Amino acid sequence: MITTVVGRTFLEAYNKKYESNKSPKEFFEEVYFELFYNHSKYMQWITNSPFVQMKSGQKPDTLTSDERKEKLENLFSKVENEEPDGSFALGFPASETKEYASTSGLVSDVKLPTTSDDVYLSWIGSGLGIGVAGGFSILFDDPEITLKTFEGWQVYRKYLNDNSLSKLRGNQINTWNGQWLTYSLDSEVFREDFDFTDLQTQKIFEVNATLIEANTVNWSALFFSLSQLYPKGEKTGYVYGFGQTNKTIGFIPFYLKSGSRIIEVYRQLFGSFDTDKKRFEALFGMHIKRACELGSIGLQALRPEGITKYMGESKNLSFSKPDDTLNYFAYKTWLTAMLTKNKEEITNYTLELAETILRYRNQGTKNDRKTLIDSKLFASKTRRLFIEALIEMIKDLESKDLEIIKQLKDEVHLMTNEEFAYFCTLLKFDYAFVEKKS
Amino acid sequence: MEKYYVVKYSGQFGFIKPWTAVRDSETFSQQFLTPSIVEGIEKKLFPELLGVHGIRKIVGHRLSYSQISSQQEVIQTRGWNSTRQGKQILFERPNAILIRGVLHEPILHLAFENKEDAGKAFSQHVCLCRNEDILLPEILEEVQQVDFESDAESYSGYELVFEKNEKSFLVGYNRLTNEAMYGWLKIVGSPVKYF
Repeated sequence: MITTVVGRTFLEAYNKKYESNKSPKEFFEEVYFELFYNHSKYMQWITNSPFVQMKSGQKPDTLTSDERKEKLENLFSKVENEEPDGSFALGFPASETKEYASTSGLVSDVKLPTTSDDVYLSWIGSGLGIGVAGGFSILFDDPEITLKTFEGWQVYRKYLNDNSLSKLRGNQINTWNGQWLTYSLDSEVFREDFDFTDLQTQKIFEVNATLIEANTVNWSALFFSLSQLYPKGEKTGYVYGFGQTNKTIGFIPFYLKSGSRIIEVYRQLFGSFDTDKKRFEALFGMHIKRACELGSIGLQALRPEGITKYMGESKNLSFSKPDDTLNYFAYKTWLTAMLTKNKEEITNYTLELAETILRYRNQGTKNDRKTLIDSKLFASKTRRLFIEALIEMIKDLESKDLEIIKQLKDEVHLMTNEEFAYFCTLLKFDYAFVEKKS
Repeated sequence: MEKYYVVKYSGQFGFIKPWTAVRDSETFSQQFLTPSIVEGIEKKLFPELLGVHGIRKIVGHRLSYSQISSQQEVIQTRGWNSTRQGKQILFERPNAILIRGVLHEPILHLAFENKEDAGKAFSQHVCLCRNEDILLPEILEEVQQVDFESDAESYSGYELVFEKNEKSFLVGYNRLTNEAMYGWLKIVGSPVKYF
C-alpha cells in the first residue's frame, strides 16, 4: 500500500546517497531492525506485530539480544509464508484467513500481488510517517524529505540509548519525525551542534519528573519549515493515522509556497521579521482535519484559528492584552495575503481607510457615530449592510474623506462575498490599531 | 480553435473511497477521479464500449463540491463468519462503525470532443462510485477548449491528469488490468465552495 510506495522512494534515495545496494530485506535487517528494535527501548510499537508478541514472562525492555533476533526471525517467516496483513505489513488490510474482520467491507476485491519486498518496504515507509497534532501523520513521497527524516531516526536512537535520559519514552518515532523535520529544516533555528538542552528549549521534548516525551508538532509549523526546503514548491502529502483501526484522509496537495508567501507579506507590511518567529507561526493553521476538508493545504488552511471569532461580528481586538499586538500582526498578514492572492503589490490601503473612519468618528460629538461604526459597519455580515452603513456616513462627510468613502463603497460593491469577509475584518483590525495609537 | 462539449452533472452526495482505506474507522472521500473511475463512468454512458479497453470519449473532467461532511454509519463485514457451538454452527455478519467523509453537493463536468457523444451523455445519469450517489445532467454547453482548461469561475474543480511525471502519485490499481494508476492533481479555481 502507500507505505510501500514511500518506503521504495526512500530506499532508492538511500542507496544512491550512501552508495550502497541494499535490498528491502537487507535494509530492514541491517538498518531498520538495528535502529528500531534491537534495543531495550523500541522506537515504534506495532500492535500484534511479531516484535510486540511476548512469550509468558517476557517484557520488551528485558529481552536479550537472542530473544530479539528470534522475534526478527518470526517476522521473516511470516513475510515468507503468510498472506500480508496489517499486523506485519503496515497499512495493509486485516487478515481474513480465520474470519472476516469487521473492517473487511472496505477492502477492494482487486487482487494485488504483494511481494515480500513490499512488506519490508511498508515497515520502512511507516517509520517515515510525520506525526502532527490531531492524531494524524503525513507521508511525502519525496526523496529529500524521507532522507532528512531518516537522519532524525539516528538522533532519536541516540537519545533513547542515553543513560542520563532514562525517562525518555520510546515508541514515538512518528511524533519525533514531525519535530525533527520542523527543527532541522528551519535554517533560522537549526544548529549543527545542537544538544538535548536545545531541543528542550525548542519545546521538542517535554520534561517532567517522571517522564520525558516528544511533543506533537502542529502541522503549520511543519509546513513553514518544509516551505523553506521548497519555497516555490507544491507537494502531495498523504494524510493518515494508523492504530487498531486506521484513519484515511487521503492525498492532499500542500502548497508550500503559501508559507513563504506569509513571511514575504509580513516583511512587506511590517519591515523586518523581528517578532518571535515561533510564536508568530504558531498562530497560523486550522485543525488538520478542517484544513484537509478544503481539499488542498495552502493559504486558506493557514487561517489563524483565533481570527474566526472576529469575522462578521462586532467584537474587535482591544490591544489591552499583550498578545493582541502579535495577533494583530498575524491576522493582518494572513488577511492581506488572502486579499492579494494574485497581485504583487501589497499596500496599506486599509490602514488609510481606517484613519479616515476614525477621523469621521472623532468629529462627532455624541456616541452615535461610534455605535454606527462598531455595531453596524464592522459587524456587517453582508456587503449590503456594510454599504448601508457607509451611506449613513456619507451625509456627514466632506471633500477628500467623502471621496475616499465613496470609492470604498464602489469597491465593496464589486467584491465577492469571500473577499468582503476578509476585507471587512482587516479594516476592523486596522481601525482598532489606529484608534489605539491615536 | 478546438471546441469541447461539456455536460454538467450535479447531485446531493458523493463518496470516492481512497484505495488505501482498508481497515478504517474514519475515511475521507477522495476529491478526484481516478482513471478507472472515469473509464467506468464512460462505460456506463456508452455501453457499446464495454469490451474496449481505455478511455475513448471523455477528454476532460472537473469535480467540485460544497464541502466534505462526516457521516457516522454502520458497515458490515463482506462475508459471513461461522463458529461452532456444540453440534450447531452459528453464522454471523459483524458490524462496525465508520465515520465517512462524504462530498456534499458534488458537481461533475465531463468534456467531450464530439457533440453527439455529449448529447447521449446528457440524457443519462452517472454515479460517483456508489450507485446511490446519483448525479443528474443539468446543462450541455459548447465551450472553447481553452476556456474549459482555465475558466476558474465556471469550471472550477479537481481534475486528476492521467500521466506519470515527477508530480504524479499512485492513485490505485486498475480494476480490470490490475495495473498501477498514476496521475497528478490539477486544481482550477476554488473547488470547495463552502468552508
